Amino acid sequence: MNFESPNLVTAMPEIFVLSMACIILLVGVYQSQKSGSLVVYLLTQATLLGALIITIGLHTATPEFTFENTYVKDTMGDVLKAFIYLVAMVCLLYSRCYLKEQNIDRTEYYVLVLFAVLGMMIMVSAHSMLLIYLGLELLSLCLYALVALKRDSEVCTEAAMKYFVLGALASGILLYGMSLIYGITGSLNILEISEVLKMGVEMPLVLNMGLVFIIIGLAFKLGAVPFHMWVPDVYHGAPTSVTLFIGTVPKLAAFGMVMRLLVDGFEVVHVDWQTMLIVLAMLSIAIGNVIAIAQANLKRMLAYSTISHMGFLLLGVLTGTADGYSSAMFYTIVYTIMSLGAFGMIIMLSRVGFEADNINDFKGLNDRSPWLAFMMLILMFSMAGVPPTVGFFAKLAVLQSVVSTGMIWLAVFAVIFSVIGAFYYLRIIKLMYFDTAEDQAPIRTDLDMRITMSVNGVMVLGLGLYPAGLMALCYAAIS
Amino acid sequence: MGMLQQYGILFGLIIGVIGFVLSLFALNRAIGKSRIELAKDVPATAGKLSRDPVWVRYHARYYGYALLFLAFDMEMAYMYPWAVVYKEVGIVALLDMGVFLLILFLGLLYGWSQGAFRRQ
Repeated sequence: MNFESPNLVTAMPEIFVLSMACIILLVGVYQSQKSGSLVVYLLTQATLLGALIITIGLHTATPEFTFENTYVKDTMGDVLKAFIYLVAMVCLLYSRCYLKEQNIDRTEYYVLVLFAVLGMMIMVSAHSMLLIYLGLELLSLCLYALVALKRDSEVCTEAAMKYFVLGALASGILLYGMSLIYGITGSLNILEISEVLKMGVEMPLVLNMGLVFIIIGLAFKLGAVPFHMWVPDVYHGAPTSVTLFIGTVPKLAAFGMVMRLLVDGFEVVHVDWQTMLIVLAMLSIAIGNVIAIAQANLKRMLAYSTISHMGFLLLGVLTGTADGYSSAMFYTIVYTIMSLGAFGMIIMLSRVGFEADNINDFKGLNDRSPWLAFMMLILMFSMAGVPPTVGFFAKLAVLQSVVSTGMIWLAVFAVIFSVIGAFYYLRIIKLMYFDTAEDQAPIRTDLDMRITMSVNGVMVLGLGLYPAGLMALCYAAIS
Repeated sequence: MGMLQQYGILFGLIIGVIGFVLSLFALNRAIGKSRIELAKDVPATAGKLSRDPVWVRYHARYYGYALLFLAFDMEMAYMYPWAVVYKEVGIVALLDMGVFLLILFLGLLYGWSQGAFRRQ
């Protein structure tokens, strides 16, 4: 047997995060109870920062393969990883006070977040179906545990149970699809699969079966209609800080996984999966936007809005062009930045024993805090796709790539439902500016949160004014 | 014998077993007698009604052990293929397994600190 020793340097960020997560676990276990989780929190942030520095430092333009070609380090992976660290850091910044109030400020929270980040890093860098699955499971298992972290709360445990059962089902379906593909191509390696597909396979029916199962699994994880049932319940039931995490970072990883599987692996049979993605995207955009109108709970509303945004992501991917992929990547990154702010705002307005997750809690926010109301205004405008916010350019880029492949009807469809969807974002703005406040309690004044929120809002506006930089980054990452 | 035929036999056996069990129940109904009496289905202890509620839920306290068993038994599954190639790969294999066991050992420490080994 010829055993080649893997090049560990290529996977340095992952190794670093893994070792730090183990160390933090031990620090958390053996420190005194009084000092609290401040040390653990700071160590976690330092780990994410360190991983960011290592990833940027080790970046090379040419892709590097290691672990017998099952693992790749390329520009797309590095860009996605960098955003994964950054978004996770902001998530923790927003969550810190909330965790203390909800009494779930435990070492396990931070360690689970780090392991979830590790899972996502593996997802975006894996180049073998087995490794992709491994990363996905590492992420999912951490998320199930995070949702269930408030063990005494019935809503949380119910959400966690639903998430676990449906997530396990989705993983099973995905794995089944992978096994069919393995049967037909004789390989788990993405590169080898695409080589085999180029030469043509004997039984295209089995290939299509496998593809269908893989896409169902992906749609489940993305939360695309008709596999979206878990999204609103989990977003609603989970503690808001966990919703913030689930609603942002994993989307980046899911995009990476879609790219690795569908584009790196199955680009040859692009026509086969394009139709399926068209159906998923249309249903997601339509149903997500329409049902969101009926929601009185902001977390549920944002969950349905996520579904429609995932539809847009799929729109970009299904074009099958480099433009489309990079616009989908741009959309994903922009989406995570926007929903960071939106979920962060819910945490911002919450306090001990009170969750500001009802849309009526935003009534008269302008009188209570004009600056926060303005930030929320920008975020909502951006989600609705109003210029000059970055959300507009994200939608524009995706639609442009759809039009350039000749599917004008699809772009028109997406625009119509985006206009319908604008209603529920604008309703929040109306509540903030034109209604009188029901809730007069002072808003929390933690400086770090306020600064983060301001940076977050200004970034949405600033990226909207200068989208070229991020756009160029996404384009470089894809090509 | 063809593959399909073997499955046919299997299917016949399953039908046969189910039919046999059902016929036993039917036989019991036909010959046996069951008298319906008052208070026959009431939980009683020593001639009296039970003092404590009988519909109690049992806590599966051994779930912790089950988890630990899963975690530490799985390592064995990885060690078998490792043992086969160990001689050829040499010192690197030892290091690889060392890292693996180290991570598992951390899990052991964590479980210990959370009282997973206390007798419940």
